[in-house]
Amino acid sequence: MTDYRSLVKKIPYAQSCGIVCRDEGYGIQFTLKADERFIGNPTIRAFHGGVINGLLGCSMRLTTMHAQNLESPPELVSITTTYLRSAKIESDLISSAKVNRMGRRVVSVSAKVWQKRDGEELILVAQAMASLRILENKIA
Amino acid sequence: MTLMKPNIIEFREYLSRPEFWDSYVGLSGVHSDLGIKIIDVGEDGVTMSFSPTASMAGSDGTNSCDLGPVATVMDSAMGMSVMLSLEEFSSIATLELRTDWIDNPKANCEISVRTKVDNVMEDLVFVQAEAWQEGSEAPFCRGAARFMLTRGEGNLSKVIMDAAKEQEFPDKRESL
Repeated sequence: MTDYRSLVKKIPYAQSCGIVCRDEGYGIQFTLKADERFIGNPTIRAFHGGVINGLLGCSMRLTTMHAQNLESPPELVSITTTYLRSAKIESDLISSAKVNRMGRRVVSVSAKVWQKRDGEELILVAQAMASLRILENKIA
Repeated sequence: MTLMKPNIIEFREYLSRPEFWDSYVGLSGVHSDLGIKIIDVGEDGVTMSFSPTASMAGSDGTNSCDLGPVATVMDSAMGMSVMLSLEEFSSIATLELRTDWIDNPKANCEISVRTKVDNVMEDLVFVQAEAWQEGSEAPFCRGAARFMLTRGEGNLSKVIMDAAKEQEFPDKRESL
């Protein structure tokens, strides 16, 4: 059985933000709890874009690490994030990632971030595509 | 050519004065949390910096700073550049941010970000940024972003200027 808490510990930033992950059957789901310290624009009380970017990055790197049985998270080469709407600080952010192409050294990954609005409806907040690099000595 | 509105001229004047930079940083929870500092506000761009801590590391093996804090400072510095490049107040939103990681940032070493506005269109602004560390000539990360002028709620420029005015004239708070 996978210990998902030890997975998040691999990225100290994810741990300090309070990101938690669990297996939802279709893949790992990452949750970032809403907190005042993540507010970017105080007038609309929304999550800062950089925090959303950080969640997407952690989601992609940890999903790849878990899927490929790596010893440590792969390094980021590039990431492009598209913001679709502002994410108000009133509810948590949920993210999941998908490995699209696994090369020997470079992995192509995508991820999305949603937020629950008006009760239960999940709204897509942002999505990202990234290239990650696997270090040779990090393959378990 | 559109004439700059007086409040934009005033906004630029306030942001060019270092004594008001802390009031801008204090407005946002994430800025305070990361300890972001404004280093320079010029006509051609903005420079911000922060000191990464062990809790901001992107890997427990390297202690190199994670994407999240770097992207946060880039997005904030780019956003401020956009606000300063406009001829009238507008709320803005980041549409897209791309970052290329040329190298891993060194652990426990201050990170600085400088921006440059490429083009201001009717509804879009294109900005680029570089992140580098002390003792290194070359950036470890390059960013490019597109911002949209949303002209709706959430106009941060006005809030920043009001905070600066409140700092300068604390007794006239009621009249702001």
